[in-house]
Amino acid sequence: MTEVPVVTNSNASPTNLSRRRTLIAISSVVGAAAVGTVAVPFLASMTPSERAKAAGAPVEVDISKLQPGQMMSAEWRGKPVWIVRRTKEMLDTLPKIDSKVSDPKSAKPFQPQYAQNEWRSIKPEYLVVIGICSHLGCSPTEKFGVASPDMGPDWEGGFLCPCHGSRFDLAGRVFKAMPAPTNLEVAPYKYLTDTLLLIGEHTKTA
Amino acid sequence: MNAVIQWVDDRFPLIKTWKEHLSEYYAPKNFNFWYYFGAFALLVLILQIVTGIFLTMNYKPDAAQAFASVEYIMRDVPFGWLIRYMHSTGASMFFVVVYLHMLRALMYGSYRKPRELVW
Repeated sequence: MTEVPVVTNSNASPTNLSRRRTLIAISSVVGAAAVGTVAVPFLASMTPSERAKAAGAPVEVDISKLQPGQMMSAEWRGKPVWIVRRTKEMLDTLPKIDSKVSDPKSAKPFQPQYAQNEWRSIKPEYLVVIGICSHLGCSPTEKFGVASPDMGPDWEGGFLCPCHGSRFDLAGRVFKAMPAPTNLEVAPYKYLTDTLLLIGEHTKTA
Repeated sequence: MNAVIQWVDDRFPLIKTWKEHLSEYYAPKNFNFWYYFGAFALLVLILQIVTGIFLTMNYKPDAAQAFASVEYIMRDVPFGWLIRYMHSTGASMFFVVVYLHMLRALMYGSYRKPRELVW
């Protein structure tokens, strides 16, 4: 770039290189600003639309009418979310079958931290779990009857997946040697009031 | 940066091509307004490709779903209306710009020797 000959044209005015550099710099800046401005709507168009946000929004569930031993189902992001109000007897069975389930202490991260306990829930009474088998995505059926004839004499109540027979206990923990590899996933949730749940938003932990 | 350019230049005449066709392309001084339309055509073509790609992200090419997907682009996708209008107006503008570009070529004899192969 050092030995640039002074180019003359037919009008016999010598080329002004510093003006040329200034013009190149100005047009580069203007061009970059234009590209940046045009990029804004294109990038914004890839952000989630209001409709998509509404489809993924948390849902409120009123659990005031749920009786002990009952189960209800809510839809969140197209998935069934079960809410089971467990009785004292149901909760008492959980420690007893620790040796039969594959992940008794919920060590694997299939629940939020605030639900990582013996009951896999914030309040022991209410289980909030996504009702999709961790094997191939069927929806298990509830089998709350203790020692019911179809589940065998050792059955303490839980869930059975109709597709491939995976069994889960009343905290959604999978039994050993089942097709399903992991426990049922606990949905993110928090209590708005004592009887109103918000599913899809995490409880704030300190 | 220079090392990268040098690496490419050792394998492909990048700087030479850039200089020959762009930065040191020898253009007559008396180019006028009519000569802009080639660059405009290139700009509109690039915009058509980019907006088209962004529209396909939300468009459903199905007789039963197309209308609703366009409605979704116009009302829900952020700036979807702008991208769709750029694409539809750009299609018309492409014709305008290309016809003016061709008219220029005819007016100024840009097709003559040695440019017979250009068009």
